[in-house]
Amino acid sequence: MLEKFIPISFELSVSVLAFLLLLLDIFGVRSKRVFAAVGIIGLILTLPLTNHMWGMHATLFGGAYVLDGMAVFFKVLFIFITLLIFLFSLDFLEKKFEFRGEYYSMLLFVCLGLMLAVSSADLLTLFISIELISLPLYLLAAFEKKNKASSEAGLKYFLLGAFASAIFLYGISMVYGTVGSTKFVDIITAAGKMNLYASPVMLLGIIGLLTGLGFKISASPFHMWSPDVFEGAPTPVAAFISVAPKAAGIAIIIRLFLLSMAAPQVQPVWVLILLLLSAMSMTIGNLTAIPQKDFKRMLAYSGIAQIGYVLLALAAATTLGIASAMFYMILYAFTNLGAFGVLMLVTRMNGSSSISEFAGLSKRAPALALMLLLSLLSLAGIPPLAGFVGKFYLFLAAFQHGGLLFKIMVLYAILNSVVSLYYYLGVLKVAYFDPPADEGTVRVPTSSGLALFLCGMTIVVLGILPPLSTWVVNITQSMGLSL
Amino acid sequence: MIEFIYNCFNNCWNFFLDVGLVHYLILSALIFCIGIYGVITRRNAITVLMSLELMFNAVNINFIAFGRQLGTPVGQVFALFIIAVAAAEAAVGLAIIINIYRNFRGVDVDKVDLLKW
Repeated sequence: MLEKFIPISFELSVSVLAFLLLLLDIFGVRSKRVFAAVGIIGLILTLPLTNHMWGMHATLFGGAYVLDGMAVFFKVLFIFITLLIFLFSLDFLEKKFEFRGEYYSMLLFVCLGLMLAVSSADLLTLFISIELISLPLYLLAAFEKKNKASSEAGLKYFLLGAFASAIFLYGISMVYGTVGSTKFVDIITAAGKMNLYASPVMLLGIIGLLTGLGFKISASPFHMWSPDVFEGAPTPVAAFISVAPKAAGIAIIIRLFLLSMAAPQVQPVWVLILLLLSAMSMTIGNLTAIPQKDFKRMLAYSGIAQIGYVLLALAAATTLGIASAMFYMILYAFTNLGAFGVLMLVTRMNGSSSISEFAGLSKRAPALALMLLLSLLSLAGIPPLAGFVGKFYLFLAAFQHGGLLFKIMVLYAILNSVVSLYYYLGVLKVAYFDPPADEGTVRVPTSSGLALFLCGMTIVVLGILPPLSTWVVNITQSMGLSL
Repeated sequence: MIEFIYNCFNNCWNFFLDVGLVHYLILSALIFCIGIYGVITRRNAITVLMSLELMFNAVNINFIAFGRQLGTPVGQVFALFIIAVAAAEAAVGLAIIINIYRNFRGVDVDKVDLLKW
């Protein structure tokens, strides 16, 4: 009997944990540390479940939920991301807003939604889980109630997010009307047989779906929310929004769109759409990041550019392309969290997130400055670090796919990485060469220090141990490019 | 001539009498577009929220019409889920708007402009 629940055991344990934290709040636990500790211990206890699920291929709930290698891969990634956010929040919350216990349980609900999203195989499950990701995130973005910027971030995120999900739903309804089913398998089979240009309703539906997902991953024409939300939202929440929903969005794009790209009459349409999104994201992200004064806003634009690189590999739609995109999502998560973590510790006292806050960081806190160096150079793609390996595989996948268009795009992407180096180095110049405005050393608490150490180790280890990236290729091959 | 006018009139009349899938799709597309127009042009956050609800309900009409046409219950189930999610979305949205009202002394979205560029 219990064996039936193994495929959904991650979701079950995370939801139990989330409700447990709500109950603790009701029964009058007022210590912030207790909530965080219970959450962290619970999340670590769920990790051994991976043993049972690895290599499993299960379909549940009448085909609405699927568990395969890719789903487990992303679920473990989400648990790690949530764990790091918990560690960061522990110190951040102490100085900030008056405490409310629902903060941690809402983070766990988002984690639950992310887990459901990556293994949904039906548009209904997908829609519900995307809403489960979005609704708590709207509230978390507006969590500093007395802070004007935070509530503005919440309002903007909510209005644009609800607008995007309405368009997403309209797309789903059109796809349902054409195909007659909301299961991914049926949609992919039908899309393979159909001439997209002759079926405007299906095309409209797919554009709607892409709009909703593009909003989640903040690809370029749909990116306008992300800089404002990042700047206004509390820093741990901004860090969470910058990595977790993007990874889920990429997973959904792989599952829903890429598998249908095998059909020859559909392929050119997809390749064009993805390349267009990729080129726009790279250009707008990198060029707009250059003049930014605010570190979180700069990271938002850099995140848009990074998604552009990933979309370029996804457009190739080969096994290597998908594997390199998945690998890139791991290192992007750890690298971005590292950069946000440093910002959190430096500006914990005054709440500003301006780049000038880093002035003289190498003298005030050499370890933090080193961590900032590692994460920003990894984002820029400098050799021994993880970012280089990740970008190398992304561009290799696109280059090997052949076609002059792809080769030009790879060249363009490399040029863009060079442009991005400018603004990353600008921050490092402030941190290493500018005189400090404030002479005091920055205190690094244990939990944040541990989280930053984990991020730094991952950035270095993924960079110098190439076998790990072939390991991701193996996962993708074991998926067999099928549902 | 009179016969022609009569035919035209008759055709139009029939278009309104034989309500089919296309009518529902046109209706829902109209409501959806009114919703989009409202979201883009309205300045009051509550009105924007109402326009969002219009968009969600336009999608509901679509699902019900397609579900009826295809003869599968999926459309109706989807519509029920959308109603539930839209209610949750409205609750979250109103909470955020109340917070905006307390901080900015109003719900005019044009006045909420601390974060730009």
